[in-house]
Amino acid sequence: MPEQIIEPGTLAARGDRVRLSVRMPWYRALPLSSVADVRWMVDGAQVPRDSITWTVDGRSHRLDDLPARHDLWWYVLDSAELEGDLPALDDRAEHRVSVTLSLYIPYITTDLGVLRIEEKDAKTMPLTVTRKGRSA
Amino acid sequence: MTAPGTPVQGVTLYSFTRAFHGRRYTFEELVREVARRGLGPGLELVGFQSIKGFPDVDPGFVTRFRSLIDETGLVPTCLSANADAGLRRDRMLTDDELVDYMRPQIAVARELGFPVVRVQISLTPDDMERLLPVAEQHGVRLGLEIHSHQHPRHPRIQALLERYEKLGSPLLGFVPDWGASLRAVPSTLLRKYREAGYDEDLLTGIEQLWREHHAEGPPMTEPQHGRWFRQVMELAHRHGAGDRAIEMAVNITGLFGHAPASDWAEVLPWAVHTHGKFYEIDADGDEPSVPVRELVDLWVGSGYSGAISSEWEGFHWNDWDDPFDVVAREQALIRASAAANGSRVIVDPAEARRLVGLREGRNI
Repeated sequence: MPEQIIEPGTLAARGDRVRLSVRMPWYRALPLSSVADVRWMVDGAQVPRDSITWTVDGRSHRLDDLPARHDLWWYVLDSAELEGDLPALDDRAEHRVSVTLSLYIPYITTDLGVLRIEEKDAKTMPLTVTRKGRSA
Repeated sequence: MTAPGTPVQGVTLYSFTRAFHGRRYTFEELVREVARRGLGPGLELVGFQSIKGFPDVDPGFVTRFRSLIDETGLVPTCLSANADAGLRRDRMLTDDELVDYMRPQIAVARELGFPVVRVQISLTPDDMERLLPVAEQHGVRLGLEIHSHQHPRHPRIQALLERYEKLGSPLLGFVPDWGASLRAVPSTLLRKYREAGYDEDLLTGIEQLWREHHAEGPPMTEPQHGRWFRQVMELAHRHGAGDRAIEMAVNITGLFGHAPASDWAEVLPWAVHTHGKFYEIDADGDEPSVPVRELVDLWVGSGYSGAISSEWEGFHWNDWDDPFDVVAREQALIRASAAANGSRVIVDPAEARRLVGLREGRNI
C-alpha cells in the first residue's frame, strides 16, 4: 500500500526546516529497528539525510539512531513525522513530494536474509509556512 | 472411515487491513461490522496489528475486548502472534531470545480469550518443545503457520511434524494457510500491474516464471526459493520495473505457493486452525487462484472441525473491491463446498463455541 505513505496536506515549513507526516506501507506494528532508510525529496531536491529526524509517540530520533531501537515501536495507525533541512523550492503553490521508505520485515527471512522492502510514494500538495520559532 | 468435519466459519481482521489502515474503521467498529454482516462467528486478529503496544496489553483493553465479544456474540478463534527473529539489525535473535519473545504473546492470548495462538516458521522443533509448557500453563494451543513458501512437505515442516508426533501433545499443531496451494497467479494482481503501465512482456514473463516454478513443485530448500526470488527480480529489472522488483518477487515466490492440495492430508490431523487464504472470487462464485473447493473437500473429508478464517490478501493491490463483500463471497463458496460433501459449515455461535471456544481450565 505504498500510495498511503505520504499524508496529504502535511507538508509544512518553519524557518529552515520542513516537515511531513508518513504512514507505514505495511499492516502491523514494526520495531523502529525495521526502518532501514528514508529518502525524501521536495521539488526534485533531496532533504539531506543527515538532517532528518523521525518522530513517533512524541520521541524524535536521527535516522542513524533507529537501527538500534528494537525496543521501540511504530504502530500501524500512527503517523511518523519527518523533519529535515528545507531544500531550495520552486516558487509555486503546489510542491512535488516523494518519499521512499525501506523497511525490514522482522519475521520474514529468506535465503537473502531478513526481507527488506522498499516502497515509494509521490504526491503534490501545498506547503504550509509558519513563523520561525521554537519547534513544538 | 472418518466422519465428515464441520468447520467453523470465521474471518481474520487482517482481511480488512486497508479499511483499518486507512482509519475508516476503528478496531471496535471492525469487530462490530464483522458481527453485523454475519462474517463470524469465528474471529481472529493479528496482535501487532489490532492492539497498540502488543503484547503489552493493558487491563482496560482486555475488559473492553471481552465485553465487545459478549456484545457481538463472536467467538475468538486465533490470536496471530509474530516470531520476529529479525528484530535486531546487528544479528538474529538467539533461540532463547525468540522463545522469550513468544511468552508474553501466548499469555495475552489467554487473557483475551483466544484458544489458539498462531506462531511462525522461525521457531524450530526445539523452540516449540520449549514453548509447550508455556502453552500448558495458559491452556492454549500453538499452531505453527504453514505459509508459502513453506508447505507440508518442506523439510522444516516435516521436522516439526516429527517432533509433534514424538511429543504427542494436543497443544502443539499447525495453522495451514491455503496460500501455499495456488493454481494460478491472481488475475487482479495482473490487472493492477497492467493499469500501472507495465508492459505485457513483463506480465507474460511473471506468469511464465510462476508456471515454471509450479512445474518444479513447491521448493524443498531455501537456496531453491532464493533462486526463484532472484529470477523474478531480474525479470522486473529487465522490463524497467526495478522499483517494484522486490514487491513482485515477494508476491510471486512468497505468496503464491505451489503445493498440490493433496499434500495437506499428512498434516491435517495436526491442524488447530486454518487460514482460508484467498485473493478473488469470480462471477461464478469460484476462486480462480486458490482451489477452495478442492481444499474444503479435503478438510471436511479428513474430519476437520476447527475454524477456517477467511483471509483476503487481495487488499495489497486490490483497492476496488469491498473487503466485507469479498469475504462473504468466499464464505458462501466454503459453505457450498462443505454442503457438496454432505457436511456443513458451523455458523451458529453456540455450536461454534462448543467446537473451538476456549474452555475454562486446561484447553485440551
